[in-house]
Amino acid sequence: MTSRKPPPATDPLPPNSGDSETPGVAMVDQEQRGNMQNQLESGPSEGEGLDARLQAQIGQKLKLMFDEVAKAPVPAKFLNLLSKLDGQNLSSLDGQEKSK
Amino acid sequence: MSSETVKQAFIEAIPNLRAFAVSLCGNLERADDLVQETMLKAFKHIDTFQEGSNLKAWLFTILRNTYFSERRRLKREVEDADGVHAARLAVHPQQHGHMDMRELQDALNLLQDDQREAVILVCAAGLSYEEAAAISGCAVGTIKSRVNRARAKLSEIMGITSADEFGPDAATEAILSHSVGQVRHI
Repeated sequence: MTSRKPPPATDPLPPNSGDSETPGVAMVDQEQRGNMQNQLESGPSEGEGLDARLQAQIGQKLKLMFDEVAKAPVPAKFLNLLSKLDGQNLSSLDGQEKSK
Repeated sequence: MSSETVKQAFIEAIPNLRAFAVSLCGNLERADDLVQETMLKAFKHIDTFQEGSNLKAWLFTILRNTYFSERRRLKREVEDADGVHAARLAVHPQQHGHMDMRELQDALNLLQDDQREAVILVCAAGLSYEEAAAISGCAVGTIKSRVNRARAKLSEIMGITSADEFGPDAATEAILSHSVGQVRHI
């Protein structure tokens, strides 16, 4: 991604262009306002855009949620359990299982 | 498979199993119980595992079968288990660092079981539609449509609260526009 790319028109407006000393920046700023105005006026497509953004965010959050746990260290209790499983014969496992 | 190989494979699978379990049931403690049960069952029935096939998928299958059969049993025991569950979820915890995740988990909990499972397997765990179908015991097309429905439902649920993401003003505006009409002219 290039940092030169202007932010999406739906981003909050940048600080007032009056603060800026470079006319070029002010022009870009104006252009962005124009884009935003267009977006606001085109009602239905705005809804679709929101939906697409939400879908993307939800996908990211689902991955984050999963990875947060998947990247956590394995609790010692599981390693203990596994070493028990390793050392015991299978018949003694039956007593540990809750079902049946 | 030697028990040492099995043990090693299990250790490698635990992080993904835990993440799958937490996503499914929304509770780390219960998730860890599920993982433990899964490991006990898997170790006990390791002779039914076809060597060379996907051990992770096999363990995922055991875990989801354990989870859903327990859930079905609970449903039978308490007719309105879902209602009770939903009521509990409606009480939101105070804001904290993982607010977004809590919100997502709450939304996941509102999905149908089969849709929740599908979207977790494909979108969260990153499995292929084919793997997800094998784990859930259904056709690939079924998984695809479940994922689509789950996505649509999630964005519907989470769209309601997305006003927060556009700052306090937008959130306030959203609330105002939903409340009595006379304040709208402000």
